[in-house]
Amino acid sequence: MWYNFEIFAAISLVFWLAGSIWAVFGRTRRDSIIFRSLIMAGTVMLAVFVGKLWITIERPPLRTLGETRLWYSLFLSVIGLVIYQVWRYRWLLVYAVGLAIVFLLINFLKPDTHAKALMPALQSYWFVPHVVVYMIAYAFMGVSSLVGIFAVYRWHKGQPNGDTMILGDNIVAVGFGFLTLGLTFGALWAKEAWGNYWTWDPKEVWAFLSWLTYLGYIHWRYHKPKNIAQQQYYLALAFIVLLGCWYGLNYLPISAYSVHTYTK
Amino acid sequence: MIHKNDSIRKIGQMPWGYTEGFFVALAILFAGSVLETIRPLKTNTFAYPVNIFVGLFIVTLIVISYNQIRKWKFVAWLASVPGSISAIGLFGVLTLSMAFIPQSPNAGSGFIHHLVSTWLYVLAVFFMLWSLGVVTLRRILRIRRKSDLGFVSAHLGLWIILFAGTMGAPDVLQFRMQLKLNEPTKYGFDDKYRLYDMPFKVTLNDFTMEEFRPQISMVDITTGSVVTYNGKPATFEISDTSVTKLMGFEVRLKTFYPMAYRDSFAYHASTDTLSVPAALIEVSHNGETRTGWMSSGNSTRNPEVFRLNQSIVLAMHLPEAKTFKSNITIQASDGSTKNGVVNVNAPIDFEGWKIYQTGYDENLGRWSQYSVIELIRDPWLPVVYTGCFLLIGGAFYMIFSKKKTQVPDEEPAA
Repeated sequence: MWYNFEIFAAISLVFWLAGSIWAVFGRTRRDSIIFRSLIMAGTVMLAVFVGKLWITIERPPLRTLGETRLWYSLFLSVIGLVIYQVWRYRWLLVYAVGLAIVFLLINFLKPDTHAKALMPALQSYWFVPHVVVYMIAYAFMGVSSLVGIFAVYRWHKGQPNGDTMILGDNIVAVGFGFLTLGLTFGALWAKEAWGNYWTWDPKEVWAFLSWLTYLGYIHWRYHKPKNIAQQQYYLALAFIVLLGCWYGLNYLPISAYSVHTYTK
Repeated sequence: MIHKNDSIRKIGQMPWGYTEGFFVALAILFAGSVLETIRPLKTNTFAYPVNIFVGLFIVTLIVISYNQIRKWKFVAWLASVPGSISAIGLFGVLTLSMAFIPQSPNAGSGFIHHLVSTWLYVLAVFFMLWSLGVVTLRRILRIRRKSDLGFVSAHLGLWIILFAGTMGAPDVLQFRMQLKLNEPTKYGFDDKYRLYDMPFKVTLNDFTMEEFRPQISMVDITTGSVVTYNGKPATFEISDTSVTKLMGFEVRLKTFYPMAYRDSFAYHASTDTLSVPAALIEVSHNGETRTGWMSSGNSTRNPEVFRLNQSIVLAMHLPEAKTFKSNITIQASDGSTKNGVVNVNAPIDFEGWKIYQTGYDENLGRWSQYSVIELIRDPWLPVVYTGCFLLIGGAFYMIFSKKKTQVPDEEPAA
């Protein structure tokens, strides 16, 4: 059941679209207050929906891919707003909200059913922290990928983008912290649920691969901060590995060997 | 030897860089493959006490390497960022292989189907432990600022997890037990179904299971699949109050029994073994209202559907497990006894063992006559957890540490 998702999502989308357009064309300080308020209103609407869904289905809405996408859209818009608050990157806010809109639209086009059933393996106090921390990490890494794409764009226009890469470093650092928390929380939970903290299940393999991808990036940036020409492409593309872990795995033959398939 | 002019900060000029790292990683892959082909790694090669000696050897190697860092060019490279990235990259190649090649004996023979129990993996871990170890030791010996603590917490944590996780794996004991009601069981079996005499016996006092209310779907009987409506599967949950409207049909629940039996007229609530979930529903369509019973059936009783029209019926799914748990008594040979309930996600501890609820007879569901539990003993767990908590500390440092400053390229902060 979708429980009136369309109404809430439509309101969120309208607020986010209006806010983004205002952010692109608005110039004054008053405009800045207006577009932030619009985007925040869209975020609040989505948060209300997620809360309502949680109550209606009597379990945390974090089980299916569609449910995780809702949280992802939510965190993307929040992170866009927070980064704007701290560093005033307006383009980043617009891109982050744009990405949030895309993920919400996927839920429109690919609806899934929110059954109340939650398998016993998922009934744990680790469930919410593990998945929420991962969704925050994915949202930061999604934004870092946008930064990478933006850096490539500026590079091709011949504009300096050392600053853009430093912004990328900060976002990757926070995102990687959350990625590490997600990985370790997952291991601690697995010990309680399945008896082993690490079994090289395909989902674990992909999660570890994503972690290594960003681990390598952080070390490379630290060692060669001026190697922007290659690093910006790496940053833009690294997100593909994360998407592989989140979605791609379900389409690979290897997923037959995974216990992490919760979508019926 | 290839020389590339990589300028490395702090340590000064080094002859080795990324190119050499690539060849070192390649050499390790090659050596691992050859070794694995000639003399495959056995699962117990590093079992206690070998892992303790290997640990002492690695730590000694790290300490000596650190002391010789200015003399040994290789160690200087190992402790540089290109050295770290080579170790990460080698791990990345192995992980990438596992991301596409199924890791299971069922998937095929050959060591590519069990990469983590091969020499390739062990050598990659050694390489990583050596490099990471020297880097970490160097930083531990010059902790000055908060950032050094963050660094050491993350790196030392990862080192401990890698070492204890890999070298401790052969010391893990893991058995399953199939418990029948009120019958003390003393034998466990491993993943190859070999029997083991356990140091205690376990008795199942009670097995209980709760189920979710089953879902209902509109099923096209000509195809046998669930009908899709507006791009969504026509599946819903029957609640006591709400009315489900789908494709012009209004479905109301009149009565629901989680456990029921049928006589020739209707279903009645029951607690008998092999009772089935059943619902009395009322369906309105074009001003016409009909009521009827439906049931999911089970392994011994047939399901009952509600016919909507020529081709579509309402069918009840089998209920899904909500909780299943076993009340057990454990008696050790020394006389100590423990009574407790094992639930999924809530194992109980007994003399160094963790006991998990893992299964039951899925054909019989809540009427299962046995319960499967898993018994695991991992002496290295406290070590791995120490590493985990250090790594978590490092992660928090990354999230909350002061970030690099940048010149805003847009409007100034208000």
